Amino acid sequence: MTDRLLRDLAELDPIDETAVPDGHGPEADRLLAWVLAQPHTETPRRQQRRRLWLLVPAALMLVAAGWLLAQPSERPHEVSCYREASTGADRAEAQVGADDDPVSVCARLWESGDLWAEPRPSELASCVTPARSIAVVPGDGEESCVALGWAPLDWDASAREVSLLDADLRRFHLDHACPSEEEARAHAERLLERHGLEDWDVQAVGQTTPEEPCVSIGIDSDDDRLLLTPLRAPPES
Amino acid sequence: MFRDNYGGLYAYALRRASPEDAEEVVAETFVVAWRRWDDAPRDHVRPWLYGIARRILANQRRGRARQKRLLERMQGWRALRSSPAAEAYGIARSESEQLYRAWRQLRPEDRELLLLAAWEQLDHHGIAEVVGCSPGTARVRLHRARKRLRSQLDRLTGEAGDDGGRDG
Repeated sequence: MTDRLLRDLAELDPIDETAVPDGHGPEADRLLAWVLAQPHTETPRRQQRRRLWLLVPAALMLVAAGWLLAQPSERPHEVSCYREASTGADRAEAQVGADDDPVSVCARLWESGDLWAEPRPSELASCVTPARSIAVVPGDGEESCVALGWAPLDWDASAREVSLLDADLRRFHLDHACPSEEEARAHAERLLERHGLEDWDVQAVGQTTPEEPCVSIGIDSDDDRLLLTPLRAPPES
Repeated sequence: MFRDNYGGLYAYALRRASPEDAEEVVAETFVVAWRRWDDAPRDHVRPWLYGIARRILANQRRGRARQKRLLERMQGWRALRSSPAAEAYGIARSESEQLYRAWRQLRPEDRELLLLAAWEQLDHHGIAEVVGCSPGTARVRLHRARKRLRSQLDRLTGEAGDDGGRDG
């Protein structure tokens, strides 16, 4: 029934793909030539150099301010403080402890004046990038993260861990194209322990079959559990 | 990479933006992809490109204005495009209207997940790449979005039935 629902929804597609220009026409040729004319590596290198120079005063400021982890036994997280609400903006890296929040850390970096010349933006938002890192960008609330294609980060204890857990799961699935149920379960349990979510459960939803030999781990935060669901093997690249 | 994905990416952008904006999004997406090619997941290039385009659209959009355009385009579909497939599936026009209304009442996140599955034909791995979550989470979220769509649709159908009963 649900497949029928998606099929019906597909019928509402306003675009007829067969009428869309393909990659072999003159428009595509022009665009390809233009894309290839754009700098490929220069910009990232320049950004890396800028980042390096930004990291030095940022690190000095942090040390001088005596900013240390309040609880050394707790795992610190790295946070990227973005100069602008853009994925390609300059950024400075810092570490944030479990009892501090990323927005405060980046706000202090802005206010120190060592980071960038302009004054601190009135609002900063904390997000989680697809690459698991925590990012703080100028902007107000969750919309600022969503606009960049990132997830909002709630720094309140458990919500924060769920956000980071999701990022860890993403990395796991990038590294494991087709994990078995045993592998997935073991990894799910390790992650729950790592994130202090020992009261969560790991539950299998269905059994693997020759058609669906892989297992994917999903978060069901409403019921505090990780779900192991069988999936088809990804296509060969 | 470019020629294989140009048409699909252009269609993705056209579904969510005006033709002028779509061209800009496609161009910017390929520039970003060109610069970040080393980071591209080779087995999910198309969803990876959609993910880049999604962020560019989000930056480019003025939120509600873009969403409004998408809704207008969906409404305009019925006037612009005949749908023999819909008839083959036995979908009455009124049912399509109800489905559109039900979809429209969902949260934006649910709407987008459903469109990625229905229009871009992405599986959980692909959707996860686009929206930046794990495949398992994408599967759970898509499942919930489908359930919510079904629930809205049932509610609307029930209301229509009630109205019909009163009318009759």
